[in-house]
Amino acid sequence: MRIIIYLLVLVFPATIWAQGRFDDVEITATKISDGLYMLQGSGGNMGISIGEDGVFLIDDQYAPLTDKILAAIKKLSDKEIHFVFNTHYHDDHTGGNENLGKMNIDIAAHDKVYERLHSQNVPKEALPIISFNDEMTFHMNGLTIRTRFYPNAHTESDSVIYFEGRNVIHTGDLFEQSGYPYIDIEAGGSFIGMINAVDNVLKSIDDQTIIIPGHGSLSNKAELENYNMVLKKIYDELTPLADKGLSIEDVIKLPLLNEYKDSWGKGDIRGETFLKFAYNSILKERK
Amino acid sequence: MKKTIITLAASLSIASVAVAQDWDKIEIKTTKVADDLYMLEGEGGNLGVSIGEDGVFLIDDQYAPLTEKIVAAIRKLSNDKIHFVFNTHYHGDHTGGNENLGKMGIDIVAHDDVYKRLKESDTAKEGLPIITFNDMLTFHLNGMDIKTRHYRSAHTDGDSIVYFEGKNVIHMADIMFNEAYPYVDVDGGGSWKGVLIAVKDTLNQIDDQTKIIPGHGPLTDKAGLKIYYDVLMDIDSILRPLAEKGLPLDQVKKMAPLKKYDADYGNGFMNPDTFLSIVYMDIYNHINR
Repeated sequence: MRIIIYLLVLVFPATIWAQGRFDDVEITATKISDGLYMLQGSGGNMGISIGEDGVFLIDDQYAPLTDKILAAIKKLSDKEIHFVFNTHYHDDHTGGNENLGKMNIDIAAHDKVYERLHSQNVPKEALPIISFNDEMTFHMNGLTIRTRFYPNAHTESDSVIYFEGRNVIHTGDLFEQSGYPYIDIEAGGSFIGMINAVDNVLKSIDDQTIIIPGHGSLSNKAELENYNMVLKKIYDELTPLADKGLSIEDVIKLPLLNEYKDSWGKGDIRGETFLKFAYNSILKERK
Repeated sequence: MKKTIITLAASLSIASVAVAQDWDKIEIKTTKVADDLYMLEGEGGNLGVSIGEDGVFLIDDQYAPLTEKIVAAIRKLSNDKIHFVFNTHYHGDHTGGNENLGKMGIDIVAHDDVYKRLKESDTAKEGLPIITFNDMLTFHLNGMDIKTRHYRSAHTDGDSIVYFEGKNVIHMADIMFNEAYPYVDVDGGGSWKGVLIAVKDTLNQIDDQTKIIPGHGPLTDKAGLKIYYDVLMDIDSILRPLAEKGLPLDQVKKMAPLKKYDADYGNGFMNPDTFLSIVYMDIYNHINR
């Protein structure tokens, strides 16, 4: 989703989409288990835990949606929002940070999220007040909420959140359930890094695990396995082309990814766009 | 301190009795370390305090009966809310105030092993960290980065050293007992070797201008830490050959191998006999396990 907005910004003046773009967006809440919900609006999927220690919120979409998101949360809990955790730095997951930070809600994320947001000169209130380098765990609402960093995957700043004891995870954008994933190579993302990260996540979950993907619908291990299998297949298809020294221009002309036209091809990211991310990532790793 | 004394008494079977504290007599002493950065002393581990626009960042909280005095001392420096309390390790002389502060809605943060050990000792929920980490955690607060770094198996298994970056000030946790023999809580996951490693690593991270808040003892600097390190290394070089020979502790005690340091370093929390026993047995057990 972010890439589309990014592309739009390149083509149109920002004001065209800034006005009204979010007016019709509704925030829907899907119950996952007691006190755990997925919230969807426009941007990355959010996860929330509610309970006696307050609300733990994963990601916050775009700034114009903050009021709607808060209203949706209010319907579930009267408690204060205690923490917001950013799965990575992209603005469809962190756009609400400033609004929430101004409400004195503590934002937490990986060190690289802080670094990237800081380098974009976002206001101080939008920055994580607490960041970590490997794993950080929240002990609240009777849960152990463990966040684990995966280097160089979707970006260089990705965390997966494990609601231990509930068997629920939020994958951030390591998992795009509804189509081709976006690999932000400029921000340290890597195709093989993404595959490895998903492999690692798969080892930490079981057949009963409920997965909140970064984008798309609530999912499960079988779907994540299939997702990674497809990524690996594409990777194995592209690697020999890189061995032969084909340029990205040559590769795009080849009849690749045809078998995914009716599935992933219908998602937000076009096959050709994904091919560019994927192939460029492979080329980059050979340098 | 009380808790560690009890642990010690139990583990060493020595008749050391925790003296009932007369908390009323204890005063909290505040020492300015840098702009908006202070060391507080009362009874128990040294506290560190950063004040500023984002609130108060507090390192450790001594004993529960001192919470009111500590909060009053902080109020003399700042009226802003206490935003975070960071525990350098799990011992009662550093975490005893957790429950009081947690009940005030203050978020407690510490290494994973601090949570684990406090939880195992049936600490009230409010006395437990709400956020933990496994390696490094950084607070971006009051215009600086406050970086906390975990050292496995040093004074305990959950020790963190806190770096106030930009201020060139660090809090050493109980990895440093300034001007005294350090306590190595082997039952709490600590190790003599780990203390040496942590001190050496810290020396490499700091410079001649760095100010050091030790876990116990007076404010110091890199030169002070270097002296501490040299003494620990000398002690190691004295005891290690004896352990390698497999000498039993009784025999080593009779040799009084650390006599030259006892007068200067044996008057703190560790008396010479206890210190020798802990450190020698830890070295011995690592060599002969």
